[in-house]
Amino acid sequence: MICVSAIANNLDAALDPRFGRCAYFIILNPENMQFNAIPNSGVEATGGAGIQAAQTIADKGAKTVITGNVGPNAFKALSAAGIEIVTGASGTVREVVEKYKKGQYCKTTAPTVSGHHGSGGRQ
Amino acid sequence: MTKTSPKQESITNQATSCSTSTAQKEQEQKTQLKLEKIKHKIAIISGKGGVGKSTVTANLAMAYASEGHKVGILDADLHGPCIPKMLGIERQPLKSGIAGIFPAVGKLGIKVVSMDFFLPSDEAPLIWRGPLKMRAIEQFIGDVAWGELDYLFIDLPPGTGDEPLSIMHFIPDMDGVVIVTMPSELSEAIVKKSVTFAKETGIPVIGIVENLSGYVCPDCGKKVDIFKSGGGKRISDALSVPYLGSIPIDPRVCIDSDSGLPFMAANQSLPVAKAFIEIVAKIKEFLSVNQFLSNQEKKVKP
Repeated sequence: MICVSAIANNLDAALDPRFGRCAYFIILNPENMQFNAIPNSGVEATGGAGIQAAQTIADKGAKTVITGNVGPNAFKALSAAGIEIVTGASGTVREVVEKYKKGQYCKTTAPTVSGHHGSGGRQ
Repeated sequence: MTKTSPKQESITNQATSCSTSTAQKEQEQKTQLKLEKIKHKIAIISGKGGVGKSTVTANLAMAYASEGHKVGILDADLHGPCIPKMLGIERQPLKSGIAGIFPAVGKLGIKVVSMDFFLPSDEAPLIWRGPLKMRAIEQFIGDVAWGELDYLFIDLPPGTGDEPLSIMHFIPDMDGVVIVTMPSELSEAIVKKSVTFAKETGIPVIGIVENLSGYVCPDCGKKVDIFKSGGGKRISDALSVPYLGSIPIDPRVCIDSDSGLPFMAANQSLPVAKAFIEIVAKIKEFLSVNQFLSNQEKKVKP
């Protein structure tokens, strides 16, 4: 199972680049594109959104997550759960899954943004 | 982010004590510095109001942002700002720092500056005349920490008044304008003024988008031309400006806009989104041809 962070609950929605604070997690089977959209309860969280998000998708059995950026906490939590992380993706959910299947993305081995990156974007 | 060096600081201090023309020059320089970091600037204009400029702007921004570009929206409709509501970030207080005012950040990281963020309440109107509006627009460009952007979309109020004129004045190297119209003859008559306006101010016309173009009945599939049809195409032929395409009427567009998630982000499989993708492709084509031509020009002139 693959998890894609998305801004709406369908396969033609745009990918949400903020992993911990995306609107939905689309958990899908890349073989038949059957999917389940889970609203992210951490959108408005003040902290710990990444860890909570990692927990949510690990519970749903995702083995890979495709998103734009992951922060340090989410990275640690996802790595600990043995989930493969793909970052820097953009486009619709359907498009990024197609690209992933063709092997156009590589695995990320380090967090891509600092903590609290998606919580307003202002420092 | 640019940090003000001590040298710059002293210039700013001098400017306040000096004549106003020095202060004006300072502001102009600041505006230029900000604009240099923005690769493409596109304004969205119309003749008549209510044809869907903001909808087109918000969705253009979403289309580019979903491809991974860095995008900003300058909501220059000072009296009726609607971009923040469409992106679900209305009435957000803006913070500021050394680099200037930080724009609000919406979905997909789109940076937005709008009068909406500065008004005390929803009902509060902006009661301003021309010169003040011009200053506000200048500050929206020069005093905002836009940072590096690939695209800045400028949502203008209808017509050819203060705001569009100010924008054309401050951003002379604009890539072009997208003109939005609806199919009715009424809109057709007025949109011609916008085309002439762009031509007279020397800004290239990227093309015309016909919005609210026909409604397909969800039950029987019959197409009803609520506001007639073909107005946009007629103007493009008559005034020889490119026709970018038409966007059909879909109640979901209104639902999405009101909920703060433009259709290009919410669902790209809708017929409106498919029509919009074609329009975006034509705008991209225009920009790449333009880029190529300006590069050629640079080569000729060493």
